[in-house]
Amino acid sequence: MNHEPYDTLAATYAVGALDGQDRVEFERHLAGE
Amino acid sequence: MATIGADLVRQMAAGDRDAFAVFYDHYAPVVFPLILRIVRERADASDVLQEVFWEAWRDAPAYNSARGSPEAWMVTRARSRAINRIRSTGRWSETFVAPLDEGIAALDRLPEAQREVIELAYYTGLTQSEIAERLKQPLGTVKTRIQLGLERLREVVKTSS
Repeated sequence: MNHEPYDTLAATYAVGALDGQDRVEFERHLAGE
Repeated sequence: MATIGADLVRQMAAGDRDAFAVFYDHYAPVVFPLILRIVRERADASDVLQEVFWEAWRDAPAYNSARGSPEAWMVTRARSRAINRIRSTGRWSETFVAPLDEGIAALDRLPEAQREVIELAYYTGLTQSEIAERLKQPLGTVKTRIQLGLERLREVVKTSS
């Protein structure tokens, strides 16, 4: 699986700016779903 | 420093008030400037500082060093509580981005548009959608600026370390 998009989202998540569907998808990814 | 901090937190978790005093002396100078930068009012910053350290004392038993250093634990908490404070005091819309300190001076090397969105995210706690609304820019533009800015920041920090 290619996680490159998640790597990109991770930086935005780290500064607290991720929201909306991006945040939902990223947190789902973090949860291992 | 991380090891000393982790040891202090463990001692705090066991109820050691002397360890807490040392912990406070060690970390208050680190987190207070960050809190003040966000809330701007010194009295509010002092209140938030006390709140942050009270929570650190209370939550010390739950601290897990595998999830981050004591520095990160405190800075994250301080930032979050400071943002809560400006939201609760109704000064949210008045927040501005203060000058950067030496620790993240690398931001100065970013293009203005990229630096602006990252500062808004970090210092005022705005999300990418809120930043887009505030700057009256398309969400996609804001996302791109944040991502490019963070990528460049990573390169700058990497090459200077």
